[in-house]
Amino acid sequence: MTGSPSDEELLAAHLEGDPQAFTELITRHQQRLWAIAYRTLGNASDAEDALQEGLIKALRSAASFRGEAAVTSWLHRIVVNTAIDRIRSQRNGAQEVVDTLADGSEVERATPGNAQGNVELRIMLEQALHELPLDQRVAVILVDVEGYSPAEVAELLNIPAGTVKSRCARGRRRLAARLSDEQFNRDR
Amino acid sequence: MPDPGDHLAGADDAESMQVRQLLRSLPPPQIPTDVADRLYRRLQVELLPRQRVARARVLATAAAVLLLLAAATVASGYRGSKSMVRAEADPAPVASGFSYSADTIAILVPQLLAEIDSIPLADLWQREGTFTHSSAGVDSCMTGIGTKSEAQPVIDLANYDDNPAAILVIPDQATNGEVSQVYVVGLKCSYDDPELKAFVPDVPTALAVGFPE
Repeated sequence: MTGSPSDEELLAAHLEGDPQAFTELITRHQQRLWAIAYRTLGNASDAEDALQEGLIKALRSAASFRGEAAVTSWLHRIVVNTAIDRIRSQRNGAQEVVDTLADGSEVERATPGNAQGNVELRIMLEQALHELPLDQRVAVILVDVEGYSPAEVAELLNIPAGTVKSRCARGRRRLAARLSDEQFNRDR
Repeated sequence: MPDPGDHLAGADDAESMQVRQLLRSLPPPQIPTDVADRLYRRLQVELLPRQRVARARVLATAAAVLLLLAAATVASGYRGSKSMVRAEADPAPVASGFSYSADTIAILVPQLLAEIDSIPLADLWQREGTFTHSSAGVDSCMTGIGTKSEAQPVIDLANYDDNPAAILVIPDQATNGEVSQVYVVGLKCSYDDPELKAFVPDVPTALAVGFPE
């Protein structure tokens, strides 16, 4: 075989007993999975817990993966849903997210090396993103930030594609309104 | 059937389009190195027992026979002993009072095993509400951390990094207990949430355990 093995080949190798295959598969995708978990949950600590929990679930259920979707979609679905479950199980989850972001430290750490103006705008945007209702936040993160198509997100979340689109549209409008308010307040 | 959200599909105004562009330009948060390290180690812990099974498939059968022989010898020669190969159904954790940390655990575990017969069993009140309350709880925890050893672990209800924790010392069957796998877990360890705090592989324990010749 030439070149790197595909995701499907790595998963198959894992199921056949290759001790390194699953780790290699995760290493390949951990950056994007981390970004989704981090943005959904709004802080590094919860994102780490969700990522670990989700990937352990994936490991334990690997044998039941039937190949109906791409391996990467399967991994993303598990991590996204684990993050969503985590937020729902936190009694004061929404408030915690807002509080965590209030000082901007987590967001600022996520955007190193940018010009000051861009950093401020992005911090503002990330804060506004985390204040969206959970369903809109997840849809906007997956479609607008991560670049999935609405159809792919529909499959990940097991909801109709139109619902994904409407959640994105509502989320964008809220973000636009929020950014306009911020801009207005800063210009006063 | 029309999708109820479709009417909003083309509803983006100029501001929303601008938001989309901004969102697309957000740089991805980089996974911190320490987070990636912990994730890697956690996956290794989960994978380790499977690796050992794969690597030592031939040795496993022989080791299991040796462990059974050792257990029988211990049961007859060391009645009441808290040796690692005891076969009681009750988990019977001990409470050493040790304060473990990442720096001391590899030293304290052999000491724990060497002094096991003089270390008191944990009181019922100490076990109440923990996974050590029943053998089913211990089994659930061991499955949760990804191991399902034939031998019962030695469990020490102690402190790790100044917090209450359980230290599970599991003899490595493939080496007939010459080394042990040591897991540090929270007191509510279970299959669903093993609360794994630390994992120390291959701690030399043969001399400390004193397996019967």
